[in-house]
Amino acid sequence: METIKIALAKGRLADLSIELFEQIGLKFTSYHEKSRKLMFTSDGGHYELILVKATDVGTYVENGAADIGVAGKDTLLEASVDVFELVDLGFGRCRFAVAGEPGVSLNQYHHLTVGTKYPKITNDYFKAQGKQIETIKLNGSVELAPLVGLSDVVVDIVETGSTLKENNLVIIENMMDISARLVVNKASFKTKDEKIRPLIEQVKWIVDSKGSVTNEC
Amino acid sequence: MAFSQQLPQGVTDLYAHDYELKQALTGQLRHVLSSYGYRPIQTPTFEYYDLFMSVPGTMDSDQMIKLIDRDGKVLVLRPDATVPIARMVSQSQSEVEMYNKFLYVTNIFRMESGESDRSSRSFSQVGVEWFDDAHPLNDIEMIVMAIESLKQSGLKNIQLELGQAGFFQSLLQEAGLTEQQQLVVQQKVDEKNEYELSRLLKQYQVNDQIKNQLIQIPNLFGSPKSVFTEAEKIAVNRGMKQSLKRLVELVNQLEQLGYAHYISIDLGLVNHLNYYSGTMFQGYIEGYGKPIIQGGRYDQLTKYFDLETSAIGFGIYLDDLISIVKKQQSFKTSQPEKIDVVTEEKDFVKAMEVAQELRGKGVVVNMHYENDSNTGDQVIYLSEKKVEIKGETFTFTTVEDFLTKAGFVNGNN
Repeated sequence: METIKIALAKGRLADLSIELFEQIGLKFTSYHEKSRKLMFTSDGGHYELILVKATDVGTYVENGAADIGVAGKDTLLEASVDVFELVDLGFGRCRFAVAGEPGVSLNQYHHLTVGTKYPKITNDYFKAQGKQIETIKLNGSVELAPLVGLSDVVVDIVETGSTLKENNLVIIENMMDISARLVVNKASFKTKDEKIRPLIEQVKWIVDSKGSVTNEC
Repeated sequence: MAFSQQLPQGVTDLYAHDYELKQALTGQLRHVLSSYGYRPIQTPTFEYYDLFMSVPGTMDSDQMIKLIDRDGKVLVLRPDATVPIARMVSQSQSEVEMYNKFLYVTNIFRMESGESDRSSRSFSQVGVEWFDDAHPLNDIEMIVMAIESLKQSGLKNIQLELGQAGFFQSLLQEAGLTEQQQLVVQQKVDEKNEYELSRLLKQYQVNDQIKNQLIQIPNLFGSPKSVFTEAEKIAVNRGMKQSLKRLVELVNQLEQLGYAHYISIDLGLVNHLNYYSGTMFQGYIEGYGKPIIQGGRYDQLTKYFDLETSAIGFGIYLDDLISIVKKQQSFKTSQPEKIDVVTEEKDFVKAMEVAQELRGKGVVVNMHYENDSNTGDQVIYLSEKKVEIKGETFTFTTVEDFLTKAGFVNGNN
């Protein structure tokens, strides 16, 4: 029988997801955080775990290279993948915000330049408000952009806000809350439903019974 | 490789082996579809941009590949197969009365915005359109034909999923939402995103009863029996009851026809609601991540073209079909017999006569002037009057003698 492939984002989300799977009796004892291996088989042999970069989880699942995936809503939105988004897992919770130097208002610019790792989310957000903006795609240290004059403001994920504070930036506008989501390939959910559906139901049950989970990114 | 020799992103060459498979599959599909009375047609590769833009909500204008005409009008490479056929039908009403079942094999062009090459910018589709009177039995015939097309392409593990546009639409209308809100709700249902759907309906202040019913829609999929039981519980208004009744009857008849094990239901199938208006379906093959067939009844489009008819159709994604067929190794293309004729220059005329004779009998003949790279099933060494068949060698005296020995007499191929 064919195994079910689960794509997880390397790092904290993977650890939390594996913890969650253990609660429903799906164990990956061969998995070690420090291992360099990218594929692990479940104890019963029916499931296979693959570790990929966070932004690639959606791609693997959309194309059916993985049946199930766990990824942050941020990466799913940015890649706009065509998948079933079945469960809000509650962990990996944080939010998108527009941040800038204190005293800055979004309305003081006719033409706002925004530094961000998420150009699509940024464009969609401001487009919906009818604001003209120019995005500057950055790959890290986004907070630097307003300080050195690369952009007027930045759009990024805010956890505790301490990184902003240390760089003398403040939140100008909260955009949306995000969290980890369980996604499933559209075809797999239909053709392998007798294996995938019970798993999803169990995950839902655990997530729902926990209520709202810890507020962490 | 020099830049000028490279291919643009999203298009590909097909070498003989793949193209032969594609042609054989296309031929097989044509054969199946035409046995239901469909006749092949062709629409132009490019048409006016306005044609596709004015049909509400069917095409994303960013996805069309555009060209500028001499007079400044914008043209697009065919972004969809159905709209041009509806246009064609509307412009030839009298012809349509004579036949109304259309079969197409065509290339579709779309600008994919993604950074990866995964989804091609030019892909092939085989499909049918039936401009009919919306008789429920026609829906059944269309679904049977969809399953048979896949089956007779040699595919295994086919699953055809049926939906009914009216079920969700009738419920949505009761929610008292604006058009924009409806679209957002529809998107969440399509994603089966219960969590965000629930938050959204709360935010839109939809009343609890309708909210609870809408939240159940994403879960109404699976085997017909269990889905129907659950669906009946939430079918509150006439539209929902009617849609459900139609679907139950449809499935019932498909079961009687022996197609039960190919069929499943998804009442949350709402991805093309601005297009489809009644029965909808899409087909999956186990182990392949994308649907390979998509279809349904679409009355909006015919209304737009002032056609006094309903319409139903489907399209098969030929490139995906080929990938699956290669993976399942399920479709055998028949190869004609190949013979190599090896001759010296002095015997050329004689050899050519032999070759022509054989070609006339349906054999593929390659001529060689040196005994080097022979690939055929048989090799004729004409100057030496010697034949090699599967490693065995025998001699012959005349061409007739050869034909007899090789079993080509009286067309006994």
